[in-house]
Amino acid sequence: MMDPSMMQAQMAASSSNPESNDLSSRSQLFSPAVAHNAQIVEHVRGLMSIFAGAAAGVLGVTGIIQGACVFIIFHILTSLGLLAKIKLTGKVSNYLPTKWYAFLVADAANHLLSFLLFWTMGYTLIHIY
Amino acid sequence: MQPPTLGHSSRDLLLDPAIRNWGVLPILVFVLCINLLRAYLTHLGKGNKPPEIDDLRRRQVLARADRLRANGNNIHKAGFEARKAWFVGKDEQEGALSEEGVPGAVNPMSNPMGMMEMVKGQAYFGMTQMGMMQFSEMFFAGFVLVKIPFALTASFKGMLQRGIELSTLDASYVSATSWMFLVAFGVKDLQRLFSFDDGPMKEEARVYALQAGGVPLGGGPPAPMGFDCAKMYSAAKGGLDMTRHRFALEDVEKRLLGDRYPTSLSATETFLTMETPTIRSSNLGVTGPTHTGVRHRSQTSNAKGK
Repeated sequence: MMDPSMMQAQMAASSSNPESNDLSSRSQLFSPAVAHNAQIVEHVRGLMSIFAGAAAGVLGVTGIIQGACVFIIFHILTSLGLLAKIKLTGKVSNYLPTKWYAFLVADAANHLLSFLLFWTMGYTLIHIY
Repeated sequence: MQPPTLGHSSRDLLLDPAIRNWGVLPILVFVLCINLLRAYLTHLGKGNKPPEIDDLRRRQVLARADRLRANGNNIHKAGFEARKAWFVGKDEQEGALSEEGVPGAVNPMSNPMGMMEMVKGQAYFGMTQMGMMQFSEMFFAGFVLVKIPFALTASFKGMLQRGIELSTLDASYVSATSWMFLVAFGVKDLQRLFSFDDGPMKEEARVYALQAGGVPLGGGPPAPMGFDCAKMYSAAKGGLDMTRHRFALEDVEKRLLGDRYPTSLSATETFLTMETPTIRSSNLGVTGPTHTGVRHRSQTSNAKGK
C-alpha cells in the first residue's frame, strides 16, 4: 500500500493554482496530478474492498442486505479516512474534481465485485470447509 | 451469554477440505495468473507505432482552442483577441481552424489494419474466457465448490449448478464454473495490486484521468475510431466565435484589498497613510512620490518642460 506520507506529498503538489477558484468559476486542476490522485484513491478503495470482503466472510455475514450494508459502511469509512487526510491540508476540490459529499460514495460499484468474491471466499473457507 | 458460534450452522453442508485445496484455491490462482498474463501480453504486443504527425497536430490545435475557450478570462482582451484571431481568422486571413482538406469521420471499416488489431484484442479476451470455462468444466465437473453467502431463488439453480443433479440442494451452493466466473469478475482488483508498476498501469491511469479529471491525459486519446476532424474543427470555431471575454483581473485590486481599498480622491494621501509596506520608488529607479513625501525635481518643474 502506498505510504501515506508519500501520498500526502504527492497530493500537496497536485493543484496547479488554488487561487483560480476566485478568478474563474471553474476550478482548474493539473490533469496528470488528478490522474495520479485518482489512481491512489482507487488503489486504497480496492484494498478496502478485498479486506472488507474477507472480514465479512470470516465473520459469517449472510444475506444480501447485510453484505451490502457492510460494504457501504466500509466504503464510507475509508472515504472519511481519506477525507480526514485531505482536510488537514486543503479541500477535496483541490485534489479531485468532486465535492466532498460525492467523494464519500464515489466509484463504489467498481469494487463491489471484488468485495463479493472475497466475501464468498471467506465465508466458504471458514464456514463450509 | 453464549459466544457466537463461528463455524458450521446446522443447515450448512460440510464439504471435504480436499475440495478446497484442489478446487477452490487452484481456480483462484489460475484465473489470477491468466489475467495477469493477458494484461502483460497486451502491453507487450502494443508496439511502438509512432503517431501520424498531421493527425497529432490537428488534435493539439483542437486542444489549444479548447483551452483558450476555457481559460481565456485569465488573459487580457488584446491577448485573447490575438489568440482567437489565430484560430478563427480575421478579415481575409484564414485561421488555423479553417484548414482545408481536413479529413472527416474516419470510417473504421476502411482501416483494415486497425480493425484487425481491435478484433485480435477482443478475440484473445474471448478465447481465454472460453478456455477457462472448458477447463473448469472438464476438471471440476459435478463438484459443489462454494456457498454464496446470500440466499438465491431456485431459478438460479439451472445456471449456477451445472452438472450437479441434486434437486433439493440450496441454490447458494454453486459449481466450479460459476465460481470461476465469480473469480474472473472479482479478481481485477487483486490483479491491479500485483501489477502496480509503470507498465500496465499507465493504461488505467489514462482511464482515471478521463474519469476523474475530465481532461484526457496528454491532450487527447490516441486514435479512437471515428475521430471526425472536420466537424470538431467547425464546432471549435463556432464555440470560440461565441465566447465572450471578461477579463478576470479587471477588478482584482478591489477584491484583493477588500476593506483597504482607498476611497478618497487623494492618491498620495492614501498612499502615505497605508499601513502595509510599499515598494520604495528609489529601489525601482522610477520617479514618483516617494514614501517620505519628498518630490523629485522633475515633478516640481513646469509642465512646459523646462
